[in-house]
Amino acid sequence: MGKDEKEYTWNLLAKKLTGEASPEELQELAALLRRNPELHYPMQTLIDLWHSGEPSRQAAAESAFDRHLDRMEKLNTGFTTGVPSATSDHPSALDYVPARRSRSFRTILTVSLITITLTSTWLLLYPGHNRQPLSPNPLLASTAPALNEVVTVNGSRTHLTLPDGTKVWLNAGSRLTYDKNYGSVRREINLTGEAFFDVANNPQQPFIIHTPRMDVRVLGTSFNVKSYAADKTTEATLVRGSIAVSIKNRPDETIILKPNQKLIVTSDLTTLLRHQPGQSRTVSDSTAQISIRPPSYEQNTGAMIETSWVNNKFIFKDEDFGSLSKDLERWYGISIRLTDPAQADWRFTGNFEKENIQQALDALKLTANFNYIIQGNQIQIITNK
Amino acid sequence: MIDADRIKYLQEQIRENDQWAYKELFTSLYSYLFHFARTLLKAKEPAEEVVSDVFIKVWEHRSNLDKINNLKVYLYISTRNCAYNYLEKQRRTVTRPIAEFPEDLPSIYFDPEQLMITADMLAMIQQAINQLPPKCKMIFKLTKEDGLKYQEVAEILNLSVKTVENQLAIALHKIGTAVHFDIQKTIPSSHRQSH
Repeated sequence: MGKDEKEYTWNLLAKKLTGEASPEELQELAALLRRNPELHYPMQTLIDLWHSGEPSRQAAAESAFDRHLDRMEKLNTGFTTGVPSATSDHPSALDYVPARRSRSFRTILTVSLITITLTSTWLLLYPGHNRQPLSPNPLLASTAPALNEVVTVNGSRTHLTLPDGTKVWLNAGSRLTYDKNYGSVRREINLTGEAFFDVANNPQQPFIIHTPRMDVRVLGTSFNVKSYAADKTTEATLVRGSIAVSIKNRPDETIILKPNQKLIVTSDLTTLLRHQPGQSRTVSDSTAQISIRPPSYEQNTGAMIETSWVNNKFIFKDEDFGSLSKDLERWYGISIRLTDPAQADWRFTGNFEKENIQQALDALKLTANFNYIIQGNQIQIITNK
Repeated sequence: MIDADRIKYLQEQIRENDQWAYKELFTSLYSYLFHFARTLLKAKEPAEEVVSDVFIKVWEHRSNLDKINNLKVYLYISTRNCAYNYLEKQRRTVTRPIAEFPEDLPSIYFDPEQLMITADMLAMIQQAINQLPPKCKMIFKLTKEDGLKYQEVAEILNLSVKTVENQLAIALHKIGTAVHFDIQKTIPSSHRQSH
């Protein structure tokens, strides 16, 4: 075998190993090896060598990612302080400035927080669900005798104490139910809407919140749950303590949230209805995207936005008007009609406390070019031409 | 190594602010980029910093991610450039072209159990790899360990595809020759012992 032919053989082997070889080149390599049997052993050893696996470096990469997040936070990239829109081409958007997380605020946070926004209603999603679907009408609700029910209408909020001493603040337009056995054999509740919980400690009985899209198991301390029927996403944010979230239809996946993490599940109703249990899918399957982010903080005060409603503050940051208008409906007990699809993409940042709905809309008008018409409980948003 | 379709998918997701996708991209490519940076910088901490900086840029410019054709190659080249900038900042002169940096790390891993070869031969192979000329070794590592294509290695190292092809053939030839010599040496000697 000449020197050139030898070089050429190694060249072909290199191409074979890297997947660069054409079918003709692979045939050629086989022919060369038949003519030169002394190359069999070294070449086979090299093939084995090439495919010899390396140990998984996943753990090292995970810890490197944690350090990377710390750096991102220090450099104020916006990653760890809530996610601003990547596309800043909304002409009416307020300038987004990533909030600096105030150290003092971080240390006074004493609650765990979960925010859950639901994709749809119980009835629509789970017609065959074994629990009796509940109506907001107390008379109808009484047809499910084993259940206690607390309902708030839009524009009102309330708080209560459950039989085991767990304190609950219930936001507007929400419904919370629990059965007569609550506290004696188990602590499980159903929620649509939004609630803040201060859970009485009881390691023997985990506190479980059922929502149509996910179940949240509380492993300790206090937290907040938000769960509304009209929203596209399901969210869970944890500030302190520990919670385990399992997504419905995916019994094998339990996500343990760490402090300062917010779980968001996005999925549309049609794919949710089509989904067959047992069907294999990855966590980031496009039909149900799951992402984990930090919660958002108000820029001036450092207040956590997700829990601000408990203190009668209505705070929103870089929120699109599509979802903000739904929040306003619940907060003020009114209904808002957008008259142009583009309106849903306007983004706002703001803070309402004592303002009425008119004052609130007037404030929003300062940054987006619109007008509104109020007729009784109905508000129409009209883009100025 | 994470496959190209998955990277494409993550690339789109990150553009949509998906931090979960961002984390997956980071953790799947971190060890490769870190080793690459460490080879250039010959130090662990700055290498980690460089890779972190590269990924921070990815997040900051996520709205433009659709303009990047091959994100994997982009990350390697960014790592290379960042490492160079770092060296310049350290007022160290960078005179050698990138592929000349010795790949002097024990980053080529073999599992002897998988290979069914003796520890002696494995040592021979390791030695042959360690004695490869720097450019050769770098190309061997990037094609074998990192699973990069000739074209990708060529872009990252600023070489022609032909050079990458030839260098890898040289690397395999040298390692293969070590295996070859090993047979010739070990078979007669074991023969002697059995008599």
